[in-house]
Amino acid sequence: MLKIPGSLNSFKSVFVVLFLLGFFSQAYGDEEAVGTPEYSDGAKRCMMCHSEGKEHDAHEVFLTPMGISKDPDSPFAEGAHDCETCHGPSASHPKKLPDGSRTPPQITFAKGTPVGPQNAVCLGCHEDGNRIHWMGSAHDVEEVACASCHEVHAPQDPMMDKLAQQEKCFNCHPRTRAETFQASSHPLRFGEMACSDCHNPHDGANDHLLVRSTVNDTCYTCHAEKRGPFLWEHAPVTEDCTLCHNPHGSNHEALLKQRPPLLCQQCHSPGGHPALAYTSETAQNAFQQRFMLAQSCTNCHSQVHGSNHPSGVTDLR
Amino acid sequence: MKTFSRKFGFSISTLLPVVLMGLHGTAVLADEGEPSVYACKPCLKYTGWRGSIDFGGGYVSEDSYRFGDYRGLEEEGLYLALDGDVHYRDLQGYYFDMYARDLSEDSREIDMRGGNQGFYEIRLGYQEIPKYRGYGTETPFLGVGSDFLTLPANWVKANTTGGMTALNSSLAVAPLKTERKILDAGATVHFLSNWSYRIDYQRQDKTGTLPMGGGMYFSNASIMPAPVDYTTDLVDTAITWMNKRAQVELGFISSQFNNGNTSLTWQNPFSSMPEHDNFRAALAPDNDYYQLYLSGALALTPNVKLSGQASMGHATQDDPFLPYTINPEYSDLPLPRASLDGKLDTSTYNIAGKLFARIADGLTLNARYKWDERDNKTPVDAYTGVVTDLVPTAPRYNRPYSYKRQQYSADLSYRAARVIRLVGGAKQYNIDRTLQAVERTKETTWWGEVKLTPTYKTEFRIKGEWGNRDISNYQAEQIGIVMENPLMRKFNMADRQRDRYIVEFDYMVTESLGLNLGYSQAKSEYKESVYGLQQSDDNNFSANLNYAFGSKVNVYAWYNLDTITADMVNTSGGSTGVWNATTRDRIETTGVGLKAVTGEKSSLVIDYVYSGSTGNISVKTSADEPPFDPLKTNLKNFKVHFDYDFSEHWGYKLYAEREQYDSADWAIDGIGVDGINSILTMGEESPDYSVWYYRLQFSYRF
Repeated sequence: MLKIPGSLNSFKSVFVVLFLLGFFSQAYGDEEAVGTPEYSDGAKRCMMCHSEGKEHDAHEVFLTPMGISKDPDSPFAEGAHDCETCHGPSASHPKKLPDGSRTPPQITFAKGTPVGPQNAVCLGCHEDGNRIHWMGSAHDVEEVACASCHEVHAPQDPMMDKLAQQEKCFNCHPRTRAETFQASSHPLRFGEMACSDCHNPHDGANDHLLVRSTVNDTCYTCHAEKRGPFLWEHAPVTEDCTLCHNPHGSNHEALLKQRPPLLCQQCHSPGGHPALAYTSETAQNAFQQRFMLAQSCTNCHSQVHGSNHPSGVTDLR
Repeated sequence: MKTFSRKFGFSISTLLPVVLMGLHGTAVLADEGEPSVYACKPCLKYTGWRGSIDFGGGYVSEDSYRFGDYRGLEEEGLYLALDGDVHYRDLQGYYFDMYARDLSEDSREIDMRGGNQGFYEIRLGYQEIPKYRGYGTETPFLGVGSDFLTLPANWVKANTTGGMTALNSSLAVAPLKTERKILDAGATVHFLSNWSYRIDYQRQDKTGTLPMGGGMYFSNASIMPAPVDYTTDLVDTAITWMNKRAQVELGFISSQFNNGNTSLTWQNPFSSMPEHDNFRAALAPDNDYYQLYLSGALALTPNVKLSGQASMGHATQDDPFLPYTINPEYSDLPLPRASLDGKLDTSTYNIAGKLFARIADGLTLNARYKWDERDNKTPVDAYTGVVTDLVPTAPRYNRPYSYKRQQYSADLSYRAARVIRLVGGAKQYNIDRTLQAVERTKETTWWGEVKLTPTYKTEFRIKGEWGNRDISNYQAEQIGIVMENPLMRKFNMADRQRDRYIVEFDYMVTESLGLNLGYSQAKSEYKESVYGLQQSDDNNFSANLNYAFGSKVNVYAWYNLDTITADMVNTSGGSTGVWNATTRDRIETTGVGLKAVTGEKSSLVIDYVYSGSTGNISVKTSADEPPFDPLKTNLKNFKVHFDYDFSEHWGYKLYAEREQYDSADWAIDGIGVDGINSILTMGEESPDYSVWYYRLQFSYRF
């Protein structure tokens, strides 16, 4: 009898795990459709009714990246099923029903169609890159369909245009649209920025679907001068920019949620001028005005994001 | 009795995989589908070059920095208007896309990408963004844009701005403008069917001036145009592997910030005691940041997926210190180090793991854990500062703040048929901080949501969230040279109860008419805080209406109302000096519009937006003072856009926009440069304007 090494039990456990992983991966293999849906003979059949000038034209898909048939991953590549790569085997679609309508394609990307099967089609090819964490993300949990935002047949998907992208986002996030018109905001309404500059709508790994690990890392992409680290740090700045700022828009300068001195006095109450009550009447006082008017606390304490000056402990230098 | 394994020499555990393999043997052999024998003939028609070029001119009716904010149309006059897009496709898979916008304006943008679809792509882009801060600004300082601001030779110093007799004759217009220029370049390569590699480089240059205050002890201060000369170089590169079950990405991010100015020096416009000529403040130091990350997802089964992201980052800052002061009287004060021994180290770790599982038909579980840490390794030393270059202080130690944040969350979602969906979850958010008033905050939030979809035309959603935050012992800290009030509670580290509700209703009244209504409220209470924020209340109501006249005309209207209220309490000294403050912001925004294809060759867009806000601030002591004058903004924007093609290749585009804006801000209006006797300002005023912008472009399509 062959002598078995003492570590065989560990080896067998690993072996079992590997086999189980292999089993589950095979369970993810193609599932052949059971039943009658059949593929037609390709796009030339679909274009008989959906070509340029027809009522439900879909020819513009050939102007998109999907329509480049030389790409081996294209739905129109040799070996694929053209339109039915996404819409499923739909050879029976041209057939009329008793009420005069057509048999719908196996998968339609429209309201009323369950979101899961719709998205499964797209994710079959597009689950890489910034869609790695789609499953379980906020939009996935809220059952947002890919086709709710993306127009696959359009020569330019509106999601690739900064202004058109916003309009889609604002359909579900109307408050953010209103915020872009406020006294201070990021340059969204002029098309200088897009929602996707800060947010990845496909990604659930980061809070608020941000493109970077944290709020601050996202802000530092364009505002790296605030990153420091500084010799004298202002603690809330290092923790979360949104403690003081509303990134979408605000009634106050510099996207602040509240204006100084009250913004600062929400946290500071040592003796002396920081904790004085600056009322509408003290605004007339020649001494008190310096703490309230113009830039208020930052008339002097201008280095609120931190200072690297050896004498900058109170953000004065 | 011998066990099965001892009798037969192997155990059930080793036998099981073999059995399972046999049961799913067909799955092992499954293929992608039969190869097709035909090419996509309809695709052939859409190859070659196509695009459009729009050229013409525009006119702005009035000067306004606010109107020109972000757009670069701040001056009255004529402008060139140049836009376009160009595209190429061929049968070999090569493609090219270019989009260009506002090429003749300060907000120009061009974006290009091309390559061989499925094999590689090259990207190139350029953009400029102008930004104005402060409108109608002036300054007596010379050398605007440099790091040394001087005063005219005939300058007369005084204790107050009223005594500066040479001020008015010295004033010059000094717009506070920055220009951001962004260059993007990148490439992606796909190889070995499952792999891709991408690299993106971005350079941002930001130049101009920003307002900055420079104080002189408790006496007075000057607001000056500080120079901005920022350069940020960002590299983002990653290699990705994916197949049907797993996706993995290994990436690296590098960001380097460089400031062309290390400090701002300015001549003192005020008399001072002792007399002193120049002051100097540090500007943002150069810094570097690097991050390595690994991101991935694995479908353990078709119904169970695990995804995660881990990153390690490292930030450094190593600028040489300025001396304690520019004041020669204290030039011999020794610094503890020249630049913190050459390096300030901060590292960040971020790990998020998420388990998503479809447990049963209609039942889904999400579980998530996230940890991120800022570990500040900056050396600690004692610094003997000189306050505002005049008064030396006692030594102070710097405080390199660190924190560790952990989030645990889980939610369960159940869809019963297609009509009702129930979701419930909980989240715990813990933060451990160093060197701050509170060591640990712990917040637990529970939430639940019901979504009803009785028909595909109707959807009703209601969500509630209830959160409670507890803190460890609160210890007041020293700020500057004084101790913080021990009864003050910073709102981000205070006990808090936070409730939030959302109600949404979507209704397709007819196939053409859609209605959406939404209301949300978030209320936070800080009941344990004697001083500080007491409560805040955030309410939002929105309504959207959309009507489609066939497939060619769409009419829409929307309305949004925000009211944000906050109450706080503070004291100027003990219980007798208690005062309270209430702020209330009300923002009302509404829009109507029409988008229509008015003929085979024409289209029309009309859009109107109104946004009005009122900010009320009331600060009261025992004397019950009246509130401040309301802060106001009113924006009205009207646009018309008409396109017409008068031949196969030619057309024209008419655009007209009117924007009217008026605002009131008691903190700056009517103050001017010398309205505050102890602050030399730049005379900023809240903007008012009414501007027309017209544009006519001819469009050539090919």
